[in-house]
Amino acid sequence: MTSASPTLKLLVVDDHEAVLGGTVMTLEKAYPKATIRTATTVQSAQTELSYGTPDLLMMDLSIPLAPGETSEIEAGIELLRSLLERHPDLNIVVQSAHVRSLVRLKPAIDSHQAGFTIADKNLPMQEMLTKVDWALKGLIYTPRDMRAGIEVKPEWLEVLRLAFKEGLQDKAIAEEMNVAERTVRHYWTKVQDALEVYPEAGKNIRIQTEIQAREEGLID
Amino acid sequence: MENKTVSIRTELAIETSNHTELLRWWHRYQAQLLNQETDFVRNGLLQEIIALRRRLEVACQTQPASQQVSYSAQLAEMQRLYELVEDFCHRLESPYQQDSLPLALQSALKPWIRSFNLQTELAQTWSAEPIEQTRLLLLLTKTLFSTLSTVDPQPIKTLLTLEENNGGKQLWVQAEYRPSLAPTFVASVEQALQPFLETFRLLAQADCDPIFQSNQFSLKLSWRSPALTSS
Repeated sequence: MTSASPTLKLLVVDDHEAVLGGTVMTLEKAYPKATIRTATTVQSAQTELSYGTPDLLMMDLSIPLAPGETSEIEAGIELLRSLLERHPDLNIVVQSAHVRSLVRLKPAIDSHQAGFTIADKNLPMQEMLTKVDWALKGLIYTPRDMRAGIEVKPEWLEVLRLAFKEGLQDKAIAEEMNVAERTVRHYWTKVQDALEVYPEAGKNIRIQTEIQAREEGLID
Repeated sequence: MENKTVSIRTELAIETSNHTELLRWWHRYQAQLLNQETDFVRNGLLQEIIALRRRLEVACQTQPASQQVSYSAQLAEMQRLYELVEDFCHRLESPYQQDSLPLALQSALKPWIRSFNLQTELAQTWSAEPIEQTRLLLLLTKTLFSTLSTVDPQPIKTLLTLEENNGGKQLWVQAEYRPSLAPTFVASVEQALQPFLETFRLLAQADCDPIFQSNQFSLKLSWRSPALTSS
């Protein structure tokens, strides 16, 4: 787990009081110096966001629009859709028992520039915290069953080719592709998610990516 | 919940003299009803289990090591309970049924991948499919694989392809056998599939061709997306 920054700001959105309490308690333990705010409806989440963008937003999908209303997946999906549009730099963790509904937002998730991870609500606490950590690091994690086979975009393949066949570093890849270095890092997280390569202690993620990409026939 | 029921009735208003439309309405109604029931379980019982689990996990961290074994056993029980309820939700409504036929098929076929040496080639994008057709295709596919697993011989290799080209859609299952198929195999499979195929023909104006050869069984379903059919 990364050490918590003293200025880390987290926003947790969940309408289920006990789940929200449990999540906040868990986050407080992992990030003792973080400021953790909460919201239980779409309305209150939007109000919280109007005070400033947090370092990470953790949200459920089934939430009510306003106090007293019924929880609806559509409400969470629409909130997330607008967040992806308006806050491309916001790190997001979706923690829900309805994670499969996120397939409706796949194109928007694919083009999101910041960290985005999906945590089934049933994940053990430690695994949930790993998804938080990954999102804070700007990584992407989507469950395997949200994809029919390996889905890769041409620009991700180009990054693989330039890195593993030409031996270029990110800066040179960015120049070659005429994009920002940050965009190249973003492509790496996308292709790593497609290949199901995620950070593992003691392993070099780029080498793991190369091995997996060769196994899948994406590079010779 | 009451409001939802009213909205279903309104949305599903139909011309009752058209029997195909009536059948379509029935399937959609069932799908929406089961979707509501599934959401009800997910938003209620599953949330309670998750909340209990989080409380246990947090409590576990503050306990002495000697008591942690007991907490671990309780957490394992909670996990088992959650999986049982989630499995029940999947029985009410197949995963991805509301959103993507390729992903729904991928999920539904998991139990047969190893035993059938099953390979899948599923379209990565799929135009909107009426929910009643998605449900029917899932049920048909599950019934087909379930039937194939109960009759001898067992396939040595199976391929399922789902593709869409210019609005034309095709689901194709091919199973290879060694030794040859017996007449009883043909009868069993035909009997299991026929009601599904007839209903799908009716709803999607589909071509459905089960073909039995000495060492191969194949089923090809071809239909068009509703927008193109109606234009």
